Amino acid sequence: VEDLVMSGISVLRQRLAVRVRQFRGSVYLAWEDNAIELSDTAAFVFGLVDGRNTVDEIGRRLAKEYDIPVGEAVGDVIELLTELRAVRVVEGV
Amino acid sequence: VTDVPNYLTLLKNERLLPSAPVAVLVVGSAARGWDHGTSDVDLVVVTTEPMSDPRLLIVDAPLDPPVIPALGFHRGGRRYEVKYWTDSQVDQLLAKVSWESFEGDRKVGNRMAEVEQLFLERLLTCVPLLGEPWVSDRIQQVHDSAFRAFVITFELAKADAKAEAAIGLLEAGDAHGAVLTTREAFGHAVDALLTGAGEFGALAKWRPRRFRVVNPPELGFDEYWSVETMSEYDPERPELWVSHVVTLCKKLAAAIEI
Repeated sequence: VEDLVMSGISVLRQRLAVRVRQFRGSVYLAWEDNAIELSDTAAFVFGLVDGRNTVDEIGRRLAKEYDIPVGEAVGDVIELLTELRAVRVVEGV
Repeated sequence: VTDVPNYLTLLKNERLLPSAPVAVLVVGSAARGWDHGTSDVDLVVVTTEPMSDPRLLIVDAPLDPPVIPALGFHRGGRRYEVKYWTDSQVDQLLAKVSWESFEGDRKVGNRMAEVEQLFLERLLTCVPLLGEPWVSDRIQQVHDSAFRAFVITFELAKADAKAEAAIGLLEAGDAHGAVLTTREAFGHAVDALLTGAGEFGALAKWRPRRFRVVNPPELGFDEYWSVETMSEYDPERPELWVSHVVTLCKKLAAAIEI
């Protein structure tokens, strides 16, 4: 059973069943009967979910990219990835 | 194309050139300088009225009129193939790939027959023998249309479907089926990548050349060729190759701007 508690050392990957499209500057995800458009920051984070980066590492890179405190960025990453895992867009490694 | 005048003379001599063509084009490998000793020379004649000749065969197309007359023949040791399009059919085809159409339905396979897609792809790299201004205008119209977006969308859908099928086959214990399906997925993903950079075409034999023309930053030639030739494939562990290539397909799909 996948650990549902996410922390800074968690590592996730994109599920292969999720289709990713870039169109007119936006990133869209489609899976099963669902489709969503990601915000710029969500797309940035999602792009770093590769089965290797930890949540902390993604948070650090988000903080650098958007010039925000690392702690805040890591919290945002955990919040986003928790949501994406709940709807089966990403999964634990 | 070194013997351009001969093609026109050939068509005239064979009574395959109407009196007032809108344009005559060399298309395909001969137009790109990629032809070899056994290549066909593909020619397209655009007319205002449908070409009629008892020697012509017809290719069905969802247009008005609903056929593309065509003829293949051998002369001087080479095979020639000529297709006859009307100017009106080209108008209709461009209307199918408008941005308005794309917003309504992104499945190119539902809208265009293979002969139609091939025409637009080849138009972009043709060598005009007659009607150069017409060709320039039409090429610009293709660039302004959603044709590229249609083809990318189609290829990515194929790539994703094949990649997902490959994983399913692997999970079901059919490693051989998974490997073959993964190869198909990779072909579609690379075709989408090259199309995104303006290099159209779905024939595997030209993919390395098209790749060299584009040199996409998302995928180096060595890595591309390694997958294409399955150089890293281990018959004892097919799942590793399948997993690696499916992941690569997904990564490419995410990087392509429609």
